[in-house]
Amino acid sequence: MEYRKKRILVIDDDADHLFIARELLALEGYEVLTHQSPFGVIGLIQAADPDLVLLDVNMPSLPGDDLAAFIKADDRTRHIPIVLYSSNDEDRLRRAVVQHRLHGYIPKGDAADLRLKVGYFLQEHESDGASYCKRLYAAD
Amino acid sequence: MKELVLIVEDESDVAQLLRYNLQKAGCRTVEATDGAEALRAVRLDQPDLVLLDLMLPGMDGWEVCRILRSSEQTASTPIIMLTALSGEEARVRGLQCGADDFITKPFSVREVLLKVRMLLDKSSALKSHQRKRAETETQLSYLVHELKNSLSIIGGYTLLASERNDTLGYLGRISSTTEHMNQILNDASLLVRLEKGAPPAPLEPLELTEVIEETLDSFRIAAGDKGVSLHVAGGAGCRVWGERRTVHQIVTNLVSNAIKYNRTGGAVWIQIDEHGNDINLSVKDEGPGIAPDQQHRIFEKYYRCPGSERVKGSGLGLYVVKLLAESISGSVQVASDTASGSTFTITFRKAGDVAPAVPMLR
Repeated sequence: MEYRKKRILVIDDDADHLFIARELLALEGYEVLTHQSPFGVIGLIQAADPDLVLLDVNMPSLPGDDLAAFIKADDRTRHIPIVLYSSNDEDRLRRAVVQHRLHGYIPKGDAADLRLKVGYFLQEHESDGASYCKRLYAAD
Repeated sequence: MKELVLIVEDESDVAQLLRYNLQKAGCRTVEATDGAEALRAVRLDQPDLVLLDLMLPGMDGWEVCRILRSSEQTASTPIIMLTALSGEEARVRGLQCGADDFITKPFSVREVLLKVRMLLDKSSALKSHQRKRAETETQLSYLVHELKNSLSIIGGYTLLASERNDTLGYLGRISSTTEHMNQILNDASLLVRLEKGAPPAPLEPLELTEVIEETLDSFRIAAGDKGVSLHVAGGAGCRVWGERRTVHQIVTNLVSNAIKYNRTGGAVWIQIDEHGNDINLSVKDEGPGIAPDQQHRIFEKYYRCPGSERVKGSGLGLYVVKLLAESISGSVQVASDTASGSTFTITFRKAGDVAPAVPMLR
C-alpha cells in the first residue's frame, strides 16, 4: 500500500495563525496546506482531498460555521472531517459542531494543544468518525 | 415617539373616558372590546402598556393576562387591571396571572394617569438598561475574542521559537502582536471613558507639530518594517485648542491606519493647513482607498470594510477618533479614491484667547 502523509487543510483569514498552524503541524510530520480566505474552499477541498480541515470561525466576509454548512451540504465534500479552530466562546463552537454535524472543535489559545487534538481527531476519524459528535449530542 | 396604551374595555363610555384622558396626557391609544381582539391588538400594535378590564365577554381579563405573560414578546409589558371587584380574591388572582397593578372601578382619572406614567417610566428604564447590558456583553465578548486570538499567536510563536531553537525569527511577530493587544486595550478603555460621558478635559493650546513629532517617534519601527516613509509638512507655529492625550491618541490611530493600510514602500503624508479660525490636520496614505459606499460607514463602531480582513484591526480605531475629535470641539472627515489612497482630515479650532465651548458628551 502506498504511504501518504496525513494531509491537513487550514483555513483562516489571519496570516499569523496560518503560519503557526502550518509550522507546528509540519513539525509533527503532517502535510499542511493553508488558505487565507473563506472563498474557493469547496474547489480546494476537492482538489487536495485532505484528511482533516481546520476551519477558523471569525471571518467577517463568511463566518466559518456558515462555510462548514456549505461544505457539508455539498455531495462532493461532505465526507471530509471538519474541525472548527477558533477563539470564540466554546458554547457557540459546540453548538455549531452539533448543528452542522462537524467533527469537533479546537479552541485557539494553547498551541501545544492544537497538535494533540489534531492527532486525536485524525486517529478517531479512522476508528469511528462519529464518536465525538455522538458525545456532543449526548452532552446536550 | 409617544407611548402606546392598549385599552381593553367593553363598556364604551369607560373606554372613551380613558382614551380622552390618556391622549390628553400625551399617549397614543388603541382599543379592544374583548379578549380575542385584545390579543390581536397586542400582536399587531405592540403597545407599551395594557389597561385590562376583567369582566370581558368570552375570554376574561385574567385569561388574557396569563396568555400575555406566557409569550416572550409580552412577558414584561406592563398590565394594569381594571376591576369593579374590590375583594381580595380578585386581586390575588390578578397577581397570580402576572398583573403589575390594579385600579378599582369607579376610578379616579388622576390615579389611572399616575399609575400609567409610573409603569411606563419603569418599563422604559428597564428596556434601556437591558440594551446597555447587551451592548456591554457584545463589547466584552469582542475583547475576549481579540485577546485570546492574540495570545494564541504569541503562544504559537513562542512554542515554535523554543522547538526550533530560533528566537530571533519570531520576536518581531511577537512584539507586533503585543502592540496590537495594547492598542485594543487602549481603545477599549478610552471607549468606556468616552461612552460613559466622563466630563471633558479642559482645553489647552497645543503646538500641533510638537504632538505629531512625539507620536511619530513610536511608529518609526512599524513604518520601517513595511518600507513606509513618514512625511510632515506645514504647521510651523500652529497652535490649536486640544488636550494633549486626546490629540496624541487621534494622531496615533490615524497614522497607525495609514501605515497598516498602505502599500509596501508607500508613504504617509501629514499636512497641516490654516483656514481662518480652523486648523486642518490631514493624514494621507497610498493604500487601496475606500470604496464610496463604505466611506460613510467607517466611523461606525466595530465596522470593518469588506476585504480588510488581512489587516489586523479592531473596528474601533476610527470610531474612537471621531468621539475624541468631537470631545475637543473638532471633527473628522475622509476623502478617498481607489487610485490615490485615503486622506483623513481633522479640523481643530485655532488656539486664540478664548477657548471654544466643549460639547457635553453623550
